[in-house]
Amino acid sequence: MRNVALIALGFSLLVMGAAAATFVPFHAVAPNLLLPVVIFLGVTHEVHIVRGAALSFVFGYLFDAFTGSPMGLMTFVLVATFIVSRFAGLRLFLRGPIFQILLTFFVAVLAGGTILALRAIFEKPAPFPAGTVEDHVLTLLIPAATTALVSPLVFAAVRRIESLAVRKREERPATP
Amino acid sequence: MNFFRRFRDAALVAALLAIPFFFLKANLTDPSRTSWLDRVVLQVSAPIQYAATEAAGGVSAIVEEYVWLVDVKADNEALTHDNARLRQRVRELGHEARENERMRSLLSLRDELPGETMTAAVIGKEVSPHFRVVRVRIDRGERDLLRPGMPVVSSEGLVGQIRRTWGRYSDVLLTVDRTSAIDVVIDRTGARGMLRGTGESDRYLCRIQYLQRTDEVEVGDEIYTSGLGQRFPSNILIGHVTRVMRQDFGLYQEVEVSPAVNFSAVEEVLILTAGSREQAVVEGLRDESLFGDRPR
Repeated sequence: MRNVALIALGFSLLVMGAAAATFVPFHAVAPNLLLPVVIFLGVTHEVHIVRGAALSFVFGYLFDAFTGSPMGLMTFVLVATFIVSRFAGLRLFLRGPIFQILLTFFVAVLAGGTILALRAIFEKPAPFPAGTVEDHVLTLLIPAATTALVSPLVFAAVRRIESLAVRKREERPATP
Repeated sequence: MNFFRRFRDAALVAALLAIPFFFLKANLTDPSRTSWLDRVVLQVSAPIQYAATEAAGGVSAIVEEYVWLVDVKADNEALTHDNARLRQRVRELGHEARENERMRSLLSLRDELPGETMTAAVIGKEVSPHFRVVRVRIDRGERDLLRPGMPVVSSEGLVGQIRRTWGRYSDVLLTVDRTSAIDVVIDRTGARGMLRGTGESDRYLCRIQYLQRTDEVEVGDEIYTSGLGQRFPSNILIGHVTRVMRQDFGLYQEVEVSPAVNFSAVEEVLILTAGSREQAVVEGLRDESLFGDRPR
């Protein structure tokens, strides 16, 4: 049930982003709303690693399908982000929204860099037209910043879903 | 057991990382450089990708349409308002165009008619219980030196003649009035007769009397003023023959004529103030007025 709720949340975030993009042409600064979800799953050690990786896989696949990015790109990046977050061993939610924003920004920059690196490795010819390095840096930093800014809200939503599931489990009468 | 579980988890996570990696590699690699593994991955992934993309596209389209629907009501109201305004404007322009057309026709008629003319607007119509116009009032009258008997025409043809005048207004005796009598000629054959209105309250109709039984006349023939009697100039269209009643005996045949003028729609008319018998009277009155009171 938790997994369905989380996937529904991820789906809703994608839909909200797509719907908002029809009103405001903010593609260049659009936050990646699924990245904080994956970071949450990564840093929450109560989430089983296989479950977290599988959910990250689903989110990535949904993202690729929705945004039209090369199939597998965000799937790989989100699964990798989950693994990195898990093994970084951070206890994010004990440290407040400022730390959440900073950490999300850092991870988002890493994820963006990974995307650029993967495209640079596999896509021929090189996807960097000459003289646009500054542009690429900006397209890396600006979405990372917006993603970081909205991350506390996304964290709160995911934490609510996870805690609801835990509460239900605790309220369930013990079997004799 | 614990080791096995850990190994299984690690393998699953590695698979979840490796699968998209190979997907990505196969998708991004130049098609001319794909390996056999890339081709296998592409073959396996293509249907899944297609299904996922279609599903995402469908959902996205539905959501976007729903989001757009938020403004649809306001848009609809604005468009309905615009539509009503534009329809009104179209009606106004259509009315102006028709008026313009009528004026042009009237002007060209003015050039064609002999003598002097005066324009007048129809300001009132008396209608029968069957909504047929039985009398027309115009905005020219005695002060404009109009006199009873002056011919009144529209761009469609002869309307009738001035029946009475007072002040700035006049009543027009229509060609379909029971008391109207006009000497006419059938354009095609030159046959002559006397056109009288029937005065029917449910239709516009005239009859030609005293048309020789031997005169050739057919349904559809055009009827014009003959010019005889000097009241109406010749060659003003009156109407078309709609029925011919020829009996085996008698001197004359009876012909029904439908007037060319739609009295219900006539808005502007021309009054022939010169070139008719009345003109001579008017001229005489004008001359007299130089020496005394203006005649009534």
